[in-house]
Amino acid sequence: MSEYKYRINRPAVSAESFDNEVIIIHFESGNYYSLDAFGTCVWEGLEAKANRESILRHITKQFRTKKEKAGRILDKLIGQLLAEDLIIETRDTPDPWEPTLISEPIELPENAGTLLKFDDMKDLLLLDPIHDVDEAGWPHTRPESDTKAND
Amino acid sequence: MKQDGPTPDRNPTQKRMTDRVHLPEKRFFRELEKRWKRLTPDICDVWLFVCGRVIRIRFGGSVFFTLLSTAFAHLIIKPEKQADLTILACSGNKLPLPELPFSTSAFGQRCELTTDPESGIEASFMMGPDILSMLDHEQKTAIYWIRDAGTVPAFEQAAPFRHLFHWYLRRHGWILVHAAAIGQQNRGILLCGKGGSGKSTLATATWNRKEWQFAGDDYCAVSLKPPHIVAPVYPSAKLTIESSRMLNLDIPEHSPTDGEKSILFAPDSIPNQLPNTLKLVGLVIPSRRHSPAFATQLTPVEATRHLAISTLYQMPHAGEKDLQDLTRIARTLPAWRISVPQGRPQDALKRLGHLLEKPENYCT
Repeated sequence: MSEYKYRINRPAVSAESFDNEVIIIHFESGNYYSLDAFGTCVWEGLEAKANRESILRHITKQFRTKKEKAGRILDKLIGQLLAEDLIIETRDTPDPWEPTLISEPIELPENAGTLLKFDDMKDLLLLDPIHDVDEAGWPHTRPESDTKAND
Repeated sequence: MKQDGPTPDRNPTQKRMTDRVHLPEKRFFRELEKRWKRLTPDICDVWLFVCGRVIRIRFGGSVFFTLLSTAFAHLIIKPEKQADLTILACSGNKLPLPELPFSTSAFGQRCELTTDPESGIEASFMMGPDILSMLDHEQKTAIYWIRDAGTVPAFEQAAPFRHLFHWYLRRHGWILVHAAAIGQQNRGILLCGKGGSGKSTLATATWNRKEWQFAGDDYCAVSLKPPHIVAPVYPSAKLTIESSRMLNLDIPEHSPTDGEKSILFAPDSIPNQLPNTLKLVGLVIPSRRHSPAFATQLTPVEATRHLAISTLYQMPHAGEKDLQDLTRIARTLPAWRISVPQGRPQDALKRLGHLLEKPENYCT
């Protein structure tokens, strides 16, 4: 996983960073997420289109931890972000990233790199209208047999 | 897992679909506008003053006018020389809809229709009642079309044109939020949270209590620049027969109904409790869980979750900028979770009155 390059899955995904937390919203799935302080560092790197090495370097400056351990947590988190469709692989060349440190490094918290997932607002997203129309678009309704096949 | 990279060649069918999505929305808009103009003389005009903007709604049909203008009784003004935005409203009863220039891939999860950004048009289509909303920002003109004027759903009568208002207001310093708003002496709070949290119970408990002001139960407009103020764009409320009796409110005979609830409009039922605007002093998230403390202050992250997520999931085309705007509001205003035990909204209201008067006493 060492050479990966990713980008945020915009416009399906929007996010807002706070001091030690990021809120991420996925408009298509209806899920929203929260990242902890470790994840916030990772997300900042992803926003900056940084590569794994740059992100890992930033993490080891922010947290007192061994590089190997931080790398394992980072790779696991990236895997989760990919699985949730919050980031996607890209062939873009990573940008150089040298973030400024605003505080002394802190101890790596237990369970660092946790991605919390919430699905309690899913019902607010309206039902997918696609199943009710055919390829020609509204008002051509999908033939009944097609609709049943999709049920 | 999605992968970015060079787009593979599309087959001819897929390419045709893509072309149809992006090209003709502007032409379609003009065509609909042209057909709408042929509806004269059966046109009813209403002039509104919404968040500092003059909006002229031109209803193609009197039935339609009666159904959808009730919600705006408090915003009606005398005709002006010019409107900032003109909405042409019509129904399929008067004007059959030409074939939409959108393929299935243009239909989004929140009713949004994908348009070419260069067209300057935002659009949505709500399946079921079949409501088409299109706003041409350059031309300052919008089109609102519904299949059947005789079956306008209650939620639409309570908050008509909200997609159009959302798109329009966000470019003019306001954002339509999914929240209730109440206040006293022109100082207000937003009640946020998902359905069932108790925000509507609390908001409607203010009805017929003269010391309280009511600016909305479901959607209201909040100014983007501080000091944030809230404006009552949709001051309606859904009430059961029992709750309306408890509040000494008469339900008008022809009120729209949504399930067992009737929709009441504040300008009709409680005109003296309707403010022009309220200056916001904070966000409040009601909770039915009992807590020893009445109010617990929340972090900006928690406040953002409650204010932003339900708003963003309901508004077509809402995205990154809207999240930033809502976050800014949540960062600026203090937020509290308050305990509203079942069946006792009046107790909570009394304490909310104290919070409104001296919010600093509830901040840590």
